[in-house]
Amino acid sequence: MRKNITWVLWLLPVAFLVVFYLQPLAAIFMRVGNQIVAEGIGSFSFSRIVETLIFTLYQASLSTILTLILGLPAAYIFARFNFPGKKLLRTLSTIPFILPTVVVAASLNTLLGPRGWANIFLMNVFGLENPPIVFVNSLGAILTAHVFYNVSVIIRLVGTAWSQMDARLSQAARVLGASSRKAFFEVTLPLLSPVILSATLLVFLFDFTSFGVVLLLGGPQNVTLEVEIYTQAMYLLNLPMAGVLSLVQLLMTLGITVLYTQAGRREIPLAPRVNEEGMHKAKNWKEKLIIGIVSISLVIMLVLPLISLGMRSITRMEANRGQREDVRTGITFEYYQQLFVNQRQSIFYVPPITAIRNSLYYGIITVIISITLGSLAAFALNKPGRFNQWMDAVFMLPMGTSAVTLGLGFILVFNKPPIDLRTFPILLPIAHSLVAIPFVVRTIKPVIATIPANLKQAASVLGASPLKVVREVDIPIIAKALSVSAIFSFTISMGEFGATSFLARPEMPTIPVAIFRYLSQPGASNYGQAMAMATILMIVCALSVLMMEWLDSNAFLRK
Amino acid sequence: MLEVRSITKSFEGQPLLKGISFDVHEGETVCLLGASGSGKSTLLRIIAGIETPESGEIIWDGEDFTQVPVHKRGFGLMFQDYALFPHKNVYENVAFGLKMQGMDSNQIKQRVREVLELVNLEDFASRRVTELSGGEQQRIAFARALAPRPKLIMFDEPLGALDRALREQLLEELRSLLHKASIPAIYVTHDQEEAFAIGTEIMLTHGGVIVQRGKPEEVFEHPTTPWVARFLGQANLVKGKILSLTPLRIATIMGEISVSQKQSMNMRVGDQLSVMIPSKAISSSEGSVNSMTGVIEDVLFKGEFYTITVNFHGERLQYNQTECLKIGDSVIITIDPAKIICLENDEKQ
Repeated sequence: MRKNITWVLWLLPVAFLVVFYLQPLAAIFMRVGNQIVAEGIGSFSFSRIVETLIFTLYQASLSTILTLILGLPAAYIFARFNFPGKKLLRTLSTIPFILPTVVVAASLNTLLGPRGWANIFLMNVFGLENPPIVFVNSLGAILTAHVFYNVSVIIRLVGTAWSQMDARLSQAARVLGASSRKAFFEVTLPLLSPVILSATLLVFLFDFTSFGVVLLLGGPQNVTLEVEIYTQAMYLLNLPMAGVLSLVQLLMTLGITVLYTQAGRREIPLAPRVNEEGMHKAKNWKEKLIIGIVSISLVIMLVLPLISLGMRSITRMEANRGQREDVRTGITFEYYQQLFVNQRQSIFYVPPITAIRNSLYYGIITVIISITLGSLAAFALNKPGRFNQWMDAVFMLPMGTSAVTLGLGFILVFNKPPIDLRTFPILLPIAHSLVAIPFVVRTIKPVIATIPANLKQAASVLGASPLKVVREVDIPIIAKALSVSAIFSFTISMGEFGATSFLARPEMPTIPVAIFRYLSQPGASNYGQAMAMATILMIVCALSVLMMEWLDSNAFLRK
Repeated sequence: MLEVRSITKSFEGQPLLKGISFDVHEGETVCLLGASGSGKSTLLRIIAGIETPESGEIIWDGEDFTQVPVHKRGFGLMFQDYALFPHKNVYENVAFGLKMQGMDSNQIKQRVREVLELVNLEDFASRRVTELSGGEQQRIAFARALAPRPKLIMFDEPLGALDRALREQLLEELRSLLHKASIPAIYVTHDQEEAFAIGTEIMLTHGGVIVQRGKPEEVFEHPTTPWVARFLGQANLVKGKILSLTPLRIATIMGEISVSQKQSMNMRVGDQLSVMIPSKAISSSEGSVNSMTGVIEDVLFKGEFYTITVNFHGERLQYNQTECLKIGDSVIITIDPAKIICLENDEKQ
C-alpha cells in the first residue's frame, strides 16, 4: 500500500526527467555516434577540441586560484570576527549567487569597458584620446567576473565550516604548548582542508562551465568549451561537433562532480557547542587592518559594478556617437522610457517591454513546473528504500550538466517535426525547470524529513485522510521552503542565459537575450536601453535574494 | 605556588569577575563551585592564558605570568567536552603537547604509553577519537593534559556531559588519578557532590566574588551565607528576627526558636536574619525546647530513609528518618538548639 503511493509520487518527476533530460542527452550521444559511423572519427577537428579544453581548464584554474586568494581571508574574518557592517556585507555577498551572467557582464562593462566609468574618468583626467583600460575581450574580464561570482561560494562554505569549528580545539593546542602559528597549521588547517578542497572543486566546476560571462566579455580569442558548443551549434550549424564538445564537457563535469562528492565525504563534522562562540571583536591593529582591507575589497568588488550599472542606466552620455559638438550629458530616464517603444533601428520586431513580459510569463510557468515536480520528488525521496538512494543522485544530475548542453540536446530532440521549437515556446520554462528542480528538491526535502512521523500519525488518528494529512500537516510546515524554492525558480528563469540562448524564439526574447542583442548592437541608445534592462533584472534578482535570505538564512549552498 | 590576585573581567559590559584572589598550594585540589554562568570557566581560561583579565595578576612561584602567552605557561587544561582533535588519533592527541615541547620521538612514545597505562587505555593508541565512548574520551583528554607534565592542571566541568552512573565511576577514577599524579589542580563544577568528592578545598563563587573557601565538611556544615547553604543543598532556611541575645531566641513564622550554639555573626536584638536548620538537627519526638507541631505534607521514599516535609503555618522543613509517616497527619518535632546556625540575610533579599 505504502509502496504504491511512492510510485504514484515518482510518476511525473521521473517521466519529466526521462523526456526532457535523458532524451536530449541521449540525442547528443546518438548524433555524435552517427557522425562517427558515417564519416569516421577523423571528421572532428581534434586540435580544436584540445585547444578549447586546455583554455577552459587554464582559465578555470586561474579563476579558482584568484577566488581563493580573496575568498579565504574573507571566510576567516566572517568566521572569527564581529565587526561593524558584517551583516550588510554578508547579505551583499549572497547577491552574486543568482545574479544573471548578462547583468554581471553589463555591470563590469559599465565600470571597466571602453565606455565605462573608469575609462571616462582616466580619459578626462589625463586628456587621453583612447580608453586606457582594455578590459572587454580579455582574459582579465573573464577572471574578474568569475571572482565576482565565486568569492561568495568560498565565504559561505569555508566561512560557515570555520565558524562552526570549535574554537576550543585551537585553544587546546595553545594550552598544550603550540604557538598560534603552529596551532593554525596543526589543528585549524587540517580540519578545514576537506571543506576548502570541496569548495575549491565547486568553484572550479562553476568556472569550468561558465558560459554567459565568457561569451559576453571574453571576446573571440578566449573561447571555452561552452562558448564553442554554442558557436558550433548556432553559428556554424555544425551539430556533430557541438555534440562532441558537449560530451567532453559532460565527461569533465562528471569527473569534477565525483571528486567534489568524494571530498564532501572526507569532511569532519564540526559542531559548535555554543553559537558564535569563537567570534570576537578585533583586538589589535593587525586584526583591524585585515578586516578593513578584506571588507573594503569585498565591497568594492561586489557593489561597485552594480552601482556603476545603475548609474549608467540613468546617465546620458552620447559623446561617442561621433557628434562631438552635440554632446549631451546628465541624468535621464529616457532609456527606461524607450523600453516601451519599438525603435525603427532596433532589431526587435517588438518593443523591449515585451521581453520583460515574456520573462515574467516564462518565470511563472517555471515556478509552477519546478515546484510541482520538485515537491513530488522531495516527498517521494523521503520514503526509505534503495531505489530512492539512486533517485536522490539522479535528481541532482541536471545540476552537474551545463545549460548549454541541455539547450543543444533540446534542439536535437525537439527542433524537428512534428514539434517545432517555434510553435512550442513551453520548452524554455521546461529547460529552466530542469535547472531549478535540483535546488527545489534540496530545499524542501530536509524540511519534510524534519516533520516528526508521530505528528502525521496524530493527525491520522484524529481522523484525517492521507490527503488531508498532507494539507493540514505537511504543507503548512514546508510553506517557507516552498516560498524560497518558488522565488529561486522564478529568479533562475528570469536570468537563465545558457539554455535560453539556444531556445528563445527571435520574436519572443527574454530579458537576458534582449540585453545580449543590445550589447552586440553598437549605438549609445541601444547601450543605454541594455543597461536599463540589466538594471531592472538586477533589482528583481537583488529583491529575490533579500527575500530568500529573510525567509531562510541558509537558503544558499545548503549541504 | 599559584597566586591569583584581584582578577576582574566583564562580559558584554556586565562585570563577571569582580576581583578574585586565591592561592593554590602543592598537593591541593581546589574546587571552584558555583552556578552556571558565574564566570568559573572564564576564570580558568584567564589562568590558562586563553583570555586576558581586565586587571589583576596571575603569579606562579613568585613570577608574574599575566603577560606570558598561553603556550609558554606550561599549565594543563581539560576542556568541557574535551576538545580532542578529531583529525588525530588517540596517540597523536596525547603526544601533541610533547611534540610541541620538541621532545624526541622515542621519549614521546614512552611517555604516551605511560599516561595511557595510567588511564587504563594502553591498547587505544591507534584508535580514532571519534570512535571513543564518552568515558574513554574523558580519560584520553585527561591523559593528553597530563602527558606534558604540567605545573598545574585545570578541569572545566569534565564530567558535565556524561550520564550519572558513568559520572560516579569516572569521578572515583579521576580522584585516584589526581592523587597519583600529585599535581596541584583546579576543578570547576556546578555540582556540589562532585566538588565534595574531588576537592581538598572548596571555593564557592557567586556574583563575581569568592563567597567562601574551606574544607568540604567545613563549608557544608558552616556555610557563611544563606546562598551557600542553599547551593550546597541545605533545604531548611527560615527567616527570623532576634528576640533576645542571652539566651538567643529568634521569632519565626513557625514559632520561637532557641539557639544554644555560639554564633559567629554579629547580632543585635531586632535584627532580621536567616536560620539554617540542618536536617539532622530535627527529630520527630517531643523535647523540652524547640518542640512544635506541624502537618505532614509529603513523604518521599529515598531507599534507606524517608524524607519528610512538614508544614508549620506555611514554613516548610525537611528532615530524614527511617520510619514512614502518613501524609496529612500532625507530627511533633524537636529541633536540637545546638545544631542551629544563624546567617545574615543575603544582600539582595
